[in-house]
Amino acid sequence: MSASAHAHEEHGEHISSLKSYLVIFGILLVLTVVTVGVSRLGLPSDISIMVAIGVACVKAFFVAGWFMHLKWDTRFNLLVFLGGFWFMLVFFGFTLTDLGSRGNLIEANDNFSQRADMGAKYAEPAHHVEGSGGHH
Amino acid sequence: MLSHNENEAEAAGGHEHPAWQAHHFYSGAQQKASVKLGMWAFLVQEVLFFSGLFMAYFAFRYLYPDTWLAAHELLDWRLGGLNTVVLLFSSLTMALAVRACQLDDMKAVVRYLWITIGCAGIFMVVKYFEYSHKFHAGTLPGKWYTFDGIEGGAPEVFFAVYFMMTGVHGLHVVIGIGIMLWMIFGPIRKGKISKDYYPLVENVGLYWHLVDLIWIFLFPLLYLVR
Amino acid sequence: MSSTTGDLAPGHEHDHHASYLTATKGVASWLFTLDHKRIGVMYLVAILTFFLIGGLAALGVRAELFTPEPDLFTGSQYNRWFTVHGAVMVFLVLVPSIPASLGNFFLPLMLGQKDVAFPRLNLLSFHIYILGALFLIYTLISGGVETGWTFYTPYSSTTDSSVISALMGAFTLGFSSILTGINFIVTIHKMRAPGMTWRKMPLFLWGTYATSLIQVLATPVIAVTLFLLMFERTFHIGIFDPALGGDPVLFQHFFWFYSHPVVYVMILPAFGVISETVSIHSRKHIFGYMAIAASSVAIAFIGFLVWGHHMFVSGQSELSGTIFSLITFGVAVPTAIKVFSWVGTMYGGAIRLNSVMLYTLAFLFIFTIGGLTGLFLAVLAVDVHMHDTYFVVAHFHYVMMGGTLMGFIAGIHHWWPKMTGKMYNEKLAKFGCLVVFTGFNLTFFTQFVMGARGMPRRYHEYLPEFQLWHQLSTIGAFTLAAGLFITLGYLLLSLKNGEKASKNPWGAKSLEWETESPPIEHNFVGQVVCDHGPYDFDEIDYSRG
Repeated sequence: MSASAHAHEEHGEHISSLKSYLVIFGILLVLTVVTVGVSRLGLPSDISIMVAIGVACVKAFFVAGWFMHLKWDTRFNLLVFLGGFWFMLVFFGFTLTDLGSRGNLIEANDNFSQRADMGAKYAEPAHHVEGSGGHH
Repeated sequence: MLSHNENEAEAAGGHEHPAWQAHHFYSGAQQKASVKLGMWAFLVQEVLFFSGLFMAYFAFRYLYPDTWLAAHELLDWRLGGLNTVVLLFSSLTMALAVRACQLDDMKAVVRYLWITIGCAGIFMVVKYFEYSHKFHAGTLPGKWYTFDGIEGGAPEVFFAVYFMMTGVHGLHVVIGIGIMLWMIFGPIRKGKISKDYYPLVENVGLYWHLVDLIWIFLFPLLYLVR
Repeated sequence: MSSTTGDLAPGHEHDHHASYLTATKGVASWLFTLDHKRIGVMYLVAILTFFLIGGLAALGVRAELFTPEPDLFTGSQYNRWFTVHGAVMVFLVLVPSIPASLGNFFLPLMLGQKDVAFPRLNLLSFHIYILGALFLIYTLISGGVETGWTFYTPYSSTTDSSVISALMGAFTLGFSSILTGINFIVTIHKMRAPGMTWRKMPLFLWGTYATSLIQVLATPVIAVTLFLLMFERTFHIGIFDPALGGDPVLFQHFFWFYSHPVVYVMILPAFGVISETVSIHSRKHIFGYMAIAASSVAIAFIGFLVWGHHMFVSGQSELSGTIFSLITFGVAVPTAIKVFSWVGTMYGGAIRLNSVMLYTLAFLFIFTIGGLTGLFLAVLAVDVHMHDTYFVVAHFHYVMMGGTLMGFIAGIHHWWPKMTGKMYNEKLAKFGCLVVFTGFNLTFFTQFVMGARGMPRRYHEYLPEFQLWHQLSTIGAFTLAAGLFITLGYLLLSLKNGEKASKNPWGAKSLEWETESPPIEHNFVGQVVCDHGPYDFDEIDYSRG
């Protein structure tokens, strides 16, 4: 190890107080109650899932920051951990983009065909992705 | 992961190094930092493993939205909530076990680990009741799905995703119990853990918090969202 | 972790300044060693063994294709042969190839260290590799698999063959790969000799580092994919099988999220090797050090954003296809930066045209063709026609076999004196390289032509108008095999009667050349300090020509 480059890692371990741990635990309990409560308000599905994920992220923030000591850990370890989530989002993002846009071109084509009155053959929508019947 | 090995240190001549320092490290601080970074990299690996399961959840939620909303009603949010609280509490006691290491109170470390193991046990018992209820009701994946009363297509896929997600998570809880028991009866009993060198406890702690963290997301997605 | 006791048991009386090969004796002292060099050598032997198995399967495939009629195999048998070839080559050879063997051996040496950060984990990763290999060997013995190495659903979840053991094999091998990746990342971050800044690290280590990042980030996703597929196949849970409500295209997303980045796991270490050899054997400072280093990491990151270009005809949405196509072109930029830098390094250098350099040149030639044909395939409209033809087969063999394996062989030749302490027969080496190069191009260039003319892949019989091309390709494959056997032959001979290698036969500047050949058990005597860059060669004396 190049001694100068990593000198900042030589500092002593941070010892959190018992009280601070209990406070964090209290916050996590409150947030659990919040997420249960919000789910029973009967919000629209899209908003409900966003709130649920949002509250979960706040809880994750407290667990990672205080219980996992990332608040006092090296910046690099934080970067490593957050980097993992970034790649997870890449995975979700591209895959959901595909799921959400399947059949778009065919639909657009059909609309165009209908407008241009090119005959019933093209007007019949071949694919429906909306609804619960699955794709294809 | 934790390669502290006295034999190696002796082989290198011992010098003034502490017994826990392996011969290929320059200093104890370097060894601690390495072990810690290794654990974080391992946790990243865990996050991406679970990301596949979450991906399946989101994909089928998108493809079968009605089924998803109807099926989650069959999960008991009270039991899920109870398990959330139990797991959060076990995370607290795990953090306190690490703190006890820092304070060099090995008796407290063992005590907190036992509480953590106890919570993990409660979690698995609750899980057992939830699972057995589903086996009775027939809300199961694939051809074992016999339940009648969910509107929407492919309800058995919801339960496939449910069992895969909670199953893999539960497997991690069981592995966690195993590691903690080993730690109590192995390294701690042999006196290998002290205020000067406790990355083992720290890393098991990190693992345990990650298991908790994943449940923090599983709980609302499976039990609460409507 | 298991508490395997290595060769460092108490009461050791062996000489720490003896060569790592002879410091301790006995089979157990190898199988349970914690020495990264021995683990590297064991990986090398294992990988080459599986290369032989995968290669024999390839020869079987090529032999069948010598005539348009099915002579040797039925369709089902043919499927099993090419699956063995693909699965063994990808999971057992290409993914571990350079990082696990040469990487393990040279990473600590180049960093001036005694070992990797976690020696036990390193050994564990080798044992897991062997376990995974046993699963795949069991698959072979129990009749093989027909799915191809990609395990696409719903075929893989419904067909009759030993898919489960093949999945177990690939799943297990993934963990070996992850552990190696974690080990290397930590070692490079935390264990560099005093004075060795990131900018003084040999480029091989940059390549290995970028590879390790991908191993840790991508491999878990294939693990969960194969895990789900095992359940799909056993319990028919309906996540990937469309007949049960699942989505087969989702499987492809899962699969390629790993399997595209893993292409860079295979090629990035080869880039690293070439960066070493091209500079050292041109005796000139590498051109564009930071450009090469940064482009390795850039490729690793952009490589995660392009997986959908394997799925242009899969039923993926048009929007996704367009986005993936666009980003795929982006990968070409850092790759081209590397190729130009290597050529720039050779310009004005004092090139030593030995076998290492010949393999390096072969790499540059072959890889450039492989890379450019990849751009053809990244174009949506072209890919619709080329998909599942021999054009694709030729393209990825030019990259995987021509790129990774040429780099691997170049690396083996470059570091052979250090690893074994022996020099090989240079004349035979040059001859072998010529045969390998000719055989390779004959095998695969013909496949570009066939593919462009519409010959589909994975068929055991074909229309007679393709016969000439197939026969040339088959002749090429056997020529290639002959060249590889020549190579293996003189390398093994050198162990017995090769000339003794000096400490630094190539006049290189990186730290691994400062220890003995072969290195002593703990690599260096005393602490190594890095006071110069890895490519700080003396001024070239042009008067010598």
